[in-house]
Amino acid sequence: MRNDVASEISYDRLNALVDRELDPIEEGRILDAIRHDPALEQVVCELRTTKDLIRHAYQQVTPDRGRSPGGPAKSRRWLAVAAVALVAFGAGGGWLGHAWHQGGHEADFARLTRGSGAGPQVGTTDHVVLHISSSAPDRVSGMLDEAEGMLRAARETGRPVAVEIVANSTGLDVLRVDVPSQASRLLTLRADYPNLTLVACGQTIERLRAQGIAVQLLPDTAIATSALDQIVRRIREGWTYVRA
Amino acid sequence: MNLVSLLRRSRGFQARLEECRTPLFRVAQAWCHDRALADDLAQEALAKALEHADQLRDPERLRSWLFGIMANCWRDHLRASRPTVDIDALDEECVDADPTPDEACGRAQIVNLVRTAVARLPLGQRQTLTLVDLEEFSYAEVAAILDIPIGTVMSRLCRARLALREYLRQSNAPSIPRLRSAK
Repeated sequence: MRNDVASEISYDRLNALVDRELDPIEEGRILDAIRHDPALEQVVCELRTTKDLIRHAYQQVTPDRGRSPGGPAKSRRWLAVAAVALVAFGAGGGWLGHAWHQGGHEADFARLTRGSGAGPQVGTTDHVVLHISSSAPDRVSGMLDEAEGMLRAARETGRPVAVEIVANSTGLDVLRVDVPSQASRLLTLRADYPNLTLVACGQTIERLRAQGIAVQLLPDTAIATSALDQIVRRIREGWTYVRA
Repeated sequence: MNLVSLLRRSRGFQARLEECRTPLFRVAQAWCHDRALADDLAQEALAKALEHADQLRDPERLRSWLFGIMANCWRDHLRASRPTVDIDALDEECVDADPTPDEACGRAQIVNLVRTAVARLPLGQRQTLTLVDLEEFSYAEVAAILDIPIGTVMSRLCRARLALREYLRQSNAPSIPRLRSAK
């Protein structure tokens, strides 16, 4: 009788048992069968051991807290950046950029910069750092649309603004003259708005150099140690961060 | 929602995200066995979570929501790095049998042995197993994170554990008894 019960217990039910996925009735039925079937008990024991081994094998795995020299820099220290952005969001009554992505750039900008305490805390000028880390055409054109929308809205409302585009990873392409991109639009934009500045990620440039690629940047593009260091610096200075 | 409650939620949200960084990294490491890539995956998932924080309706589901984002990041990465490969098919195939860095460090260590065994699992099995065993997600949560049926979660888990047992047994892992199969 007991063997009949045990033979009905499939391997996936035993897995479910060790994963605590069974309802109390089925769990009780299987535990009762296990008590009377040493082989079944051994299988369950083995499953638990395997589960413990896996947990043990990855127990000590923790992320590096700093950037590893020479390693991929695509998105390191993102949380630190975001954390600072959130603090800025709370302390300054600023914003994190979600509203911006939801359309109505000019209106949003006018709303966000209207009244006391609504803007970043750097004098009376609004400061926005736009971060681009992708060369995907929709991301690039979206970022340029955002920059243009902010600058135009500021000009129309007479509110001083400073916009800085920081580019890294494949997003650096937008600042390169040696890569077909929307560089011409960016040049036009900057000619129209002197309060737009461009900053390239030094680490991305170094990585490309190591691959034998000589990066040529748009005129007057500054080079930061890294994009994320620049962003952290700007956020600490009270700039509003927007990820394109 | 007024500014004060928004601010409170933002800070709490930030703190909870920070708590999830190590678990995300741990699971990402178990998926790809590449520290730099694992860090990128975890950080990308956190960045996207912040970017789309307003999409999280139930704060209690933060962890599974975050791991779901990371699973998508991982799939995006695979699509970008292997544009000619069908990612869905990859879920059920062994990715490769090349030695991993862990393997190269020494098979004698049980940790390396287990990590090697995990690395050799097909991608879908590896994801399912690590979400259940490392992060103790329920089958239903894993199904939601990976966007697969619960039945698939269970079958992948069974196959993963059988494969692990077999690999560890053949490798004479000291903690794995030689057993007969159950049905």
